[in-house]
Amino acid sequence: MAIQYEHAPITEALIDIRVENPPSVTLAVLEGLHEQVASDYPRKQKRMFLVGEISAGDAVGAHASQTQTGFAFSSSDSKQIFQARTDGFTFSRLRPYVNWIQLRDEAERLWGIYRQSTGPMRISRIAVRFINQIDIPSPRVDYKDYFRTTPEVSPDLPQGISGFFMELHFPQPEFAGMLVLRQAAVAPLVPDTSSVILDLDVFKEISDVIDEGEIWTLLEELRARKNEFFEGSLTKEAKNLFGERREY
Amino acid sequence: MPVTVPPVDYRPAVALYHHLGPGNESITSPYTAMLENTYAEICRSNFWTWRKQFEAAQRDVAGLSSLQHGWDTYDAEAPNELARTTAKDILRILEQEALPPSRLLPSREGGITISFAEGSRRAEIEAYNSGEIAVAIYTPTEVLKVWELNAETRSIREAIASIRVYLTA
Repeated sequence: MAIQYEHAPITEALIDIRVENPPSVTLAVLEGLHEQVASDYPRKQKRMFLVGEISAGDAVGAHASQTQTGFAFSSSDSKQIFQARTDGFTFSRLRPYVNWIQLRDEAERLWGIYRQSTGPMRISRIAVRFINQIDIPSPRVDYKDYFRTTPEVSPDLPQGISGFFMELHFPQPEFAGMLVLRQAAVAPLVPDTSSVILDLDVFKEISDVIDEGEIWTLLEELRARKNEFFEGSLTKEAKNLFGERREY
Repeated sequence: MPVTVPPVDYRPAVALYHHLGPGNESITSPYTAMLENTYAEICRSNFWTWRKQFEAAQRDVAGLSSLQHGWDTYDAEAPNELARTTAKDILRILEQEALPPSRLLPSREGGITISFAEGSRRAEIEAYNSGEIAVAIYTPTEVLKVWELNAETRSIREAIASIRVYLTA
């Protein structure tokens, strides 16, 4: 069973597959993928890894040393992004999120293109990650009214905080994986509101050979676990912000 | 129970690494490794990457308040508070529309220029000290179109849509 909200707070949903590619997979090979997807993903940007900083654009600060790790191909509305990197593949859908089936099917299509062109020697990690931005219509909130996992401040200390960043690692012994929950207060885009990010990253490191069918079965399992954590992380008051709830 | 208060000097969470990262000898290596990993994972997402870029842009706008008249060594006006406020509003709308700018600079005409680049295609939104807003789309050799906007959100959104269409054409 899955749950869909009328106004899901998902700001980015992504499927990430990391690989070990043969040395023949150069940046030119990755750039060549653009021809195959340009009709749906006309924008092409270098994906840079900087020392202590990463950038999606061409321009970087003069102070940063940089290494290009691949390319990001974006749809014309920038809502869908296909990253082809030397260390793997990522497909992202930004807000508005449609549904899992569209995310998975498009990721599967693009992964097929990536895999065919790069011929990875090994898949090393598979992840499903959903980043939610929960916008609360008040500038002053008690996080416990909305979140069931929050930083606990000693009752002997002042209770007012203006920001936090929390990262929790939950082992997932059922599939030998990990779920990383990141929760952070961020500056709201709308005045007189509060925004909190709930970033759920569930992944499995792969040590054995995995066949194509297993990838997509595992991704379903990762997504189900992500859903459990999403539902379990929020109070009823938070879920009321998302409109009608539908189970399917 | 933790209660938020309006942030005074907001420090984005993703800036944590830069405040506490390599070079600070008080940080133990496991902690540095944890921060590096957290930072790398945060930046693997487009949302966080863009968020970071927009937060940097907002800080850049705030930083322009220190410019003085004649900052370009000629006679250019420094961006005033109205231009900075307009630029911040435009950046907020750009973030909602998922179109990060390539760079942000003071304008010699008095104001702030928000620039976009996609290959040889360029676009700019200029927030002037007068409160006026202008948009230009151009190539390195030719200005293709210039038009003025009002400061309403809808008008700015329409301009962003036009820029996006031009950049991705």
